[in-house]
Amino acid sequence: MGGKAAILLVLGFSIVFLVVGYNFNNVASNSLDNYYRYYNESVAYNIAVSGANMAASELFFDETWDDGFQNLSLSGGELNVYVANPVGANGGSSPVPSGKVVICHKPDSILANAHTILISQNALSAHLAHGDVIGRCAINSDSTSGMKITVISEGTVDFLGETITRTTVVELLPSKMSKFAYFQGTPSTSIWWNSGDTVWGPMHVQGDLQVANKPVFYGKVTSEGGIDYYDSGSGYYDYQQTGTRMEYQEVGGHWETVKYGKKTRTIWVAEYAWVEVPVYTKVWVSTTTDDPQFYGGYESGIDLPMPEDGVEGVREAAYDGGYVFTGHDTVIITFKKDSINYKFTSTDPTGTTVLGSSFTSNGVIFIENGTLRISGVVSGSYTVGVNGSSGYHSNKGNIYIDNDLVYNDATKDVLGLVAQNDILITNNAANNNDVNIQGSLYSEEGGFGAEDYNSRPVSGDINLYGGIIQYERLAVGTFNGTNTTAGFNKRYKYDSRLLLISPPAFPGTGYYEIVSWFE
Amino acid sequence: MGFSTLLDIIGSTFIGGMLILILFRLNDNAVENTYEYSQELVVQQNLVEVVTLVEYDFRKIGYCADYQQLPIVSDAIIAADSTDISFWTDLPESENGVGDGVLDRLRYYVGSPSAMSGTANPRDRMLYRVVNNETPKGANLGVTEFKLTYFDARGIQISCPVDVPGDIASMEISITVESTELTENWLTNPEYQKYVSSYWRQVRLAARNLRNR
Repeated sequence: MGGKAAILLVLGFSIVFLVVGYNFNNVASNSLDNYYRYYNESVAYNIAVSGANMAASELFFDETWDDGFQNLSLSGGELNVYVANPVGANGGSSPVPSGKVVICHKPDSILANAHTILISQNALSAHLAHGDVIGRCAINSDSTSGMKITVISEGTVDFLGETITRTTVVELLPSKMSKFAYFQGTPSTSIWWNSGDTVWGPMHVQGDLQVANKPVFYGKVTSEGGIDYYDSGSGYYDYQQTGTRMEYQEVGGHWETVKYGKKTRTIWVAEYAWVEVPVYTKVWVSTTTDDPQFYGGYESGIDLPMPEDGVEGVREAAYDGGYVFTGHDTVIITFKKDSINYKFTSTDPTGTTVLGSSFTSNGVIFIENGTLRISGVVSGSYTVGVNGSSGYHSNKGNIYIDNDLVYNDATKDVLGLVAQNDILITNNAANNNDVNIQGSLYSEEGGFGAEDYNSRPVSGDINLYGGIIQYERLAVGTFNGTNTTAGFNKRYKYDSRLLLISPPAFPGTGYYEIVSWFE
Repeated sequence: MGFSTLLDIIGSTFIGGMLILILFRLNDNAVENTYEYSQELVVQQNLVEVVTLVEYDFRKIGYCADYQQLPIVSDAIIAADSTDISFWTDLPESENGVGDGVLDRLRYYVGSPSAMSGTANPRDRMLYRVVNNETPKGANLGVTEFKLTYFDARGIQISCPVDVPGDIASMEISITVESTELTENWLTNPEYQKYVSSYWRQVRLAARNLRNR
C-alpha cells in the first residue's frame, strides 16, 4: 500500500511539475517569439531601406541604371529592388522578381495620384478589381515629373514559416538649379554671411560656408566644405553631458529580520531600479559668438559644382522649338505681358512686337554671341539665355536688366535668365530709384551684380523675388557702416514655387534628388 | 495492530503532511511566478506594440505620396515638446498602401497619470494618437514614460518646447512600459511594491523625408 501511495505521489508531483514547466516554457517562448518577431520585422525593414540606399547610390553614378536587384541575400533575408526609370538602359524597368507583378495603382480618380507599385501575384485580382492596371503608370506629360524614377525595395525575412515583408518606395526627380534661393559656385575670400543676412530657400556654396555672428538660413544649406567661422579660434575642451543611459543600480534598501530555523538574523536587503544616469563626453566648447541659424538643416561635404553645360542646354532647347537670335551684338527684349518686343539698337523707336506663344513654342529664347538687355512684364513661362566669347567678365554673354522685370501674375508666371557671364543691373535713370526683378537668375561663369556699383548714385533697393545661381559673388553697392554710399541695398525674397517648378530648359544640377521616401 | 504499525501511520501521516505542505508551497510559488512572468510577457508585448506603431508613424514625418503637397520639408513638424509632437504625414489608406497624396496631421502626446486612477500603478498614463481632427484615441498599454529629445542639423540638443520646429533634424525617443497591476504585493508598504518594467530607446531617429531636397 505504501508503495502504491509513493508511486501516486511521484506521479502527482510529476504532473504538477510538468504543468508548471509547460506554463513557464510557454510564457518564455511567447516572450522570445514576441521579441524575435520584432527583431525580424526590423531586419526586413533594414534590408528594404538598404536596398533603397543601394539603388539611390547606383542612380547617383548612372542615371540610366534600372537593373534593380533580384533575390539578393542580405542580412539573413532577401532583397528585391525594382526600378522604373524613364531613361533606363534596360528599356525603363528592371526585371520583375518571380511571384511579383508591377501595376499602376490608382487610389482615386486623380491622375496625378496614380503611382507604380510592386505587388504579390496573389494580390493582383484585388487590385484589378478597384481599377488598377498591370504595368507602370504612363509617363506624365509634364517634362519634369515625366522624368521621375521610382525605386521599390522589398526586404523579406522568413519567421517561423511566415514571410515578413517590408517595403520602401523612393521617388527621384532631376534636380534643377532654379530650386536654389542662393547658389555660389566658388567660395568668397572676403564676404561673410553675417547677422542680418537671411536666406529663405535652399542654398549651396561650393567651398566653405563663411559665417560671422548670427545669419539665418530658413532653407536647407549645403556646402562642399565645412563651416568657416569668422571667430574660429576661441574655445576649450570640457566634459559635458551629451545624453543619458539607463543603468540598473542600487537605490536603497532596508534591514530585515529573517528566521533561519530557530535562529534569526538581520540582513540588509538592497533594492535596485533602472535609473537614468548622465553620459559625459569630452567635447570642444566653442566660445565663438558665431552662431548660424539653420532652420532647414545643414549638410557639409556636398560636392555640387556649377554646371559647365547649363547655357549650352538652353541653347539646344532654343534651337529645338524655341527662338534663336544670331548675328546681333545686342538684343533688347521687352516683355509686354502676352507679347514680346525685340530690337537690336536702342535708337530703334518701335522694334518688332510678336505674340509670345507663337514666337517660341517651348518658351526658350537664346541670343548667340551677344548681349541681352531685358525688362518688362512677363506673362507665361520663359527662359532667356545668352552666350558669348568665353573669358572673365567678357563683353559678350552678359545680361543687362534695363528696368523692372516682373511677372504679370506671380502665382502663374515664371522666368529664368541664363547668362554665360554676368547678369547686371544697368546703371541708368530707370534703375536709380529701386529696381524690381522677378525670376531665377543663372550666371554660369560670372555673377549677379550692379553695373558701376561703386560709382553709380545711391539707387535704392533691389527687390528680387526668385533666386540667384552664380559662379561668383558680385557687389551691388558700397557701404559705410549701415549707410549705402553707392548702388543698392538688397531685398531678396525666395519664390518657393521654384521648389516644384522651373523655367523651361533651365540648367539642371546633373543629379537626381529624392522627393519622396516611403518606409 | 502493534506499536510499529502505529508508528508507521504516524510517520506516514507526518511525511504525507510535509509533502502536502511542500505541494501547497510549490503551487503558491508557481502561481506567483506564472503571474509575474505573464505580466512580463504582457509588458513586452505592449512595448513592442507601442514601439512598432511609433516607429511606423515617426519614420513618415514629412512624407506625402504627392510630394508637391509639402514642398518645404522644414514645415513637416508643426509643434514639438518633450512629450507632445504634431507633424504632417500621409497615412497609408490600407495595410500595403503608400498614402493617398493628401496630408494628414498626426499628433502624439501622453495624458496625465491622474487620469489612470483605475489601475494600481501610479505612473501609467494614456498615450494618445490623434489623426487630423478626430477624437484622440488612446490605449492603456502601461506607458509610464514617453520622452522626446530633439537635435538640430549639427547634432546639438534643442530645448523644449521647440520654438522653431523646422530646426529639428533628428530626435531621440524613450519609452518605458510598466505593468498596470502589482506583481508583488505581499507587503503593504508601497516601497516594496513591484511593477514589471520594460524600456526602449531609439537613439537617433532621422525621418528620411526631413532631408529631402
